[in-house]
Amino acid sequence: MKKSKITRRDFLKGAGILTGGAVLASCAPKLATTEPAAVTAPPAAAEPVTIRVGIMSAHGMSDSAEEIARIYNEKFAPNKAEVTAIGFETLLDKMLQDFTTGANSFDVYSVGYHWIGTVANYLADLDEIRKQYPDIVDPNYDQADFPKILWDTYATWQGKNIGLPFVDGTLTLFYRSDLFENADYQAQFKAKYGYDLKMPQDGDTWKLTSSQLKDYAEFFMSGVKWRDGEQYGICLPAKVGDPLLSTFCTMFGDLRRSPDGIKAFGEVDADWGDYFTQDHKVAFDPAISDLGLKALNYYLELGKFSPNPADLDWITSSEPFRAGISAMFAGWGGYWPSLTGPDSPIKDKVKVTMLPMPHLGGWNVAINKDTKHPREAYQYIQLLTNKENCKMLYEKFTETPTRLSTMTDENLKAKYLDLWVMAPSLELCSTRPKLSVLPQFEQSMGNILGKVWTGELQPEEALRQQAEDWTNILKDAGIA
Amino acid sequence: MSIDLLKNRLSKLLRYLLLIAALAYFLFPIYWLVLTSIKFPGDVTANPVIWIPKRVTIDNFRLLFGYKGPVWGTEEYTGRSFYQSVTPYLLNSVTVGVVSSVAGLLLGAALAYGIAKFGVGRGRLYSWILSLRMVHPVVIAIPMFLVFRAFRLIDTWVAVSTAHLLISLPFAALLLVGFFSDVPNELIDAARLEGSTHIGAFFRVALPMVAPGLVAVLIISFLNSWNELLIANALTNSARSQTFPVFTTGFAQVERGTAWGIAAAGGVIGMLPMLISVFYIQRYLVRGLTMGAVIE
Amino acid sequence: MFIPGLFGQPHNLKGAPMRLTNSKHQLPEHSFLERAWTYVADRKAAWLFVSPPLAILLVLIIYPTIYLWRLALSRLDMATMREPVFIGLGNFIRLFTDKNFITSLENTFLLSIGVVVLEFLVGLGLALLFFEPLRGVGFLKPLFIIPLMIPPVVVGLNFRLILDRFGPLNGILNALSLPSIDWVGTPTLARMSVMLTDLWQWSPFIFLIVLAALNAIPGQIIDAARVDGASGWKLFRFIIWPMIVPSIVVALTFRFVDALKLFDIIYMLTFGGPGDSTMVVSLYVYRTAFRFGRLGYASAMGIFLLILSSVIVWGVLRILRLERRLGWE
Repeated sequence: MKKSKITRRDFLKGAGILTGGAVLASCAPKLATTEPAAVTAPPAAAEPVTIRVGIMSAHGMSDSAEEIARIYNEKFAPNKAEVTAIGFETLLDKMLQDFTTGANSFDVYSVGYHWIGTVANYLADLDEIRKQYPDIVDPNYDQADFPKILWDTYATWQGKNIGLPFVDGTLTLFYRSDLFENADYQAQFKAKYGYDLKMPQDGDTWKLTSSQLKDYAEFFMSGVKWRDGEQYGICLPAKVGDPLLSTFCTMFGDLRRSPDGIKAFGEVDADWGDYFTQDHKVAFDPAISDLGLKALNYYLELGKFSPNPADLDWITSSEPFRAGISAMFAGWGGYWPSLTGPDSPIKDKVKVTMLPMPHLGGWNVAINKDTKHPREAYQYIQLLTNKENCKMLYEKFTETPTRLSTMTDENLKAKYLDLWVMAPSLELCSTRPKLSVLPQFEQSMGNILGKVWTGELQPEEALRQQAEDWTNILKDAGIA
Repeated sequence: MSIDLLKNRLSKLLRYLLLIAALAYFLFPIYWLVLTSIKFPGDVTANPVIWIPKRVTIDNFRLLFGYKGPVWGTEEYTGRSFYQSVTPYLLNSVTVGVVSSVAGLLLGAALAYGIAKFGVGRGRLYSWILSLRMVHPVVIAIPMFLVFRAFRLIDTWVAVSTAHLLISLPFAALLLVGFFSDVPNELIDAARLEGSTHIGAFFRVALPMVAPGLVAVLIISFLNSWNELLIANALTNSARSQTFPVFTTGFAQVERGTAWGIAAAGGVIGMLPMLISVFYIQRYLVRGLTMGAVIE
Repeated sequence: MFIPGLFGQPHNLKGAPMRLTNSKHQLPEHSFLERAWTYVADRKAAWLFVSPPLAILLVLIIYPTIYLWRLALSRLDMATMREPVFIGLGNFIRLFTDKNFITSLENTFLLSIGVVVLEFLVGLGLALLFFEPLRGVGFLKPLFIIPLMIPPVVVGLNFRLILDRFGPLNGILNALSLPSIDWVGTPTLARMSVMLTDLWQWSPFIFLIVLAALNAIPGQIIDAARVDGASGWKLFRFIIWPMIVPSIVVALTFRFVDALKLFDIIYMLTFGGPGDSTMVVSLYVYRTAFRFGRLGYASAMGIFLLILSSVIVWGVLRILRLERRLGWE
């Protein structure tokens, strides 16, 4: 019919435009690309400079940055520092966008250490800056004050110094001291399980094992009724993305760094983390060893004592614990203030201890390679992370410190009950891969491993598929 | 007879009840948003849920606009910066909205007049413009990102306005075609007889006659730009040019209790443009949402 | 309610094409567009009006499309590469074996269709409630259309608060002694929640269109039917329904096409949901481009979507044209 012919012609016309565009496109001149500006020396004594700082907006981080900005404005007037708080969900996207488009929206960023591989090409080499402006280097900075693992993980990439450690984060075990110190429950527990119900304290030499953790969770879930209404043993985050990848890393890391693990997989590579063997193969692949399956099964069992882990991310997993319906909570040490603040229903009943295998999170501050003010930017990040300020920021905003001097300060430890656990946690902890494909790893793990919680995949099959997918991602990106 | 009357009354009662239920369903979320925005942090995630708060605060709004002093009746949060001030984002949204809707209106009006009065494109142009609406914003966002990246215009209001112009221009054109067709040609002929050109007639006769349509198009265009997220998110990095919806996404992962009150306050502000203009544009809403294809 | 003549040549009632002249009185009356094409012969003036907007429009469309094609045939991983590398059809080949992409397409269609069906039911019901005027409902109408133009992000945020573990919905359940439900915890629930949220925002759209259609039914027809004894269900099924079907089809078509673009709500509510149960194609492409930084691959997906949209548009235009005939003749 005439009408449909016209429509078909319209459609063909549209298709024609598309193909015409394709032909045009292939003959078109080279796509314009952006070249990064080299780090050049700015003119001396120029007009006042404003450093733009993009910091993750989370308990204390952005507050710390703003406090330091205030100090910076006084100390280095008329130069100024301007802090913008950026939400976690969008921080990586925005950073990547800023770097790859040369938009130069921020001079300084807080970079999660596991993102370093993704953005390393766009971060300024701090050694170069120090060489170029020797006068701004603080002689009292004391780099050795940082635990070695933090400096290696947060501050370096392939041998270059690309950031300064800003905020430490280790997965910690929070628990209800009123429940664990209750004599009646202790007696019941001993009767049921045959050993004492207690948690490692400051100065103890023994560590909590994973089977003990499971017993505790089981006991407080169904072994004793300690509240009216629903109760849980532990809050475990396993949401797709960062939480799933990190928490499973904790479970797997426990086995990975055990003597059996070292025998099966070799040592842990600093850049590749606990998920990989020494020769860069996916370690939890059932074909290589059954330790991966063991870890996953443990994770699933432990998850039974938690509100639906697949839905809990970092913050939502703290909610049930904070509301008082869970006996334990595995989360970042930085949540201490929100759990013990004046608004918290459980404020005087919380204590911390080490997880069987802590996991390292954490942030550095780094400088945008394209920045026009490397000198002022370095002054800022140095100020943010020096010895005195680390202590000051910890006291003021409970910003988890990265310096040993703060972590082992006896006065601070007496005042803040969560501080003691930080230094010991850093002696042995699991790490994530710092590779450039980490975002894809996170999503892949969410797609495949995440299906285990919904029952769509069996654990062993899931691990197999997961290992295969990760290997493909690596191959795709050309990383050995 | 009385049974019929009873049935009639019952059905009326039923309809009233259903209407009230529907009203509750549609208005409750708005009530909840406003409520959350004036609650204290501790009350937001209280268990059991607080339906009618005993204590309210406007501190959430103050924080939203950059207030740094003590809030929520305690010194604990003094000086805390939960999120940066929403003001630059609002300004950006207004800028982008105004620029793209005005430019779209002017250009679209010209285009619409050409189609309506001169038959340009013989209807096929009209349907081509209509088909633009069906294109996925993601498909627009990626090449726009590439082009602006090459011109180093990422994170500027120019980029976002231009991208939104691509939406507002066809929109204005399609809507105004209907309006212009209703302008009686005798008036235009009369003006031309007096010696004015087509352009003169356009400005002196046609435009004033479609003035209500112009205003409606302007408002709805502005709202479309105000609401748009995907493209604005793709083309911006920082408060330099980010619009209000992008600011809202910053609340996707927040510390509950403390920041959700602020998020809700932000949401309330986001609703304001619509709430302000709903009574004016309700006449043209269907036309606006179907880009002129459906006139009620 | 009428749908203006959308496309095609003007033709007289017998279907023969007509040539337009400069005088109005020779044009047929049944298409408003055709009726108004008066100054067809004034070509110069016509192009004066039309060329600036068209020029800008074409530049804004064609230039980026060239870039899109260029990149779809290359590889550009923003994290590690500064310049694109030509790889021919590699991206497209990978596209067809990408399970995640296919899943996202499935999710998109699943959610879109579900959402349209639900909104249809609610919108229709609401319009019927308004149909025979009850006292005092006139001013309620604007209240029902408020959800329509609220930024979808805000709607997403709002329902995030409402569907939260400690939110009001669970509060109601708890008050009835029912346990709290994790509304975005499982794939099924997450999808339902997304649909519920979109339903809240867009049912008024269907409501408005159907209400207008109902009001356009001539009163005499209904009165005549009543006199004949039809009432209630019979009245609806045989008299009202056939007369509003055309508008319903138009409304649902528009709604479906818009639902395919679902993004903002999912971004705020689940960001892909548990696993990838609510990962729709817009989110998937967006994430591939901007979080993974794989611009080449994302561009190829964009091209695929473009072609898919063209097919859908073609289908839609066919339906609309069909409706035009059903609705009038």
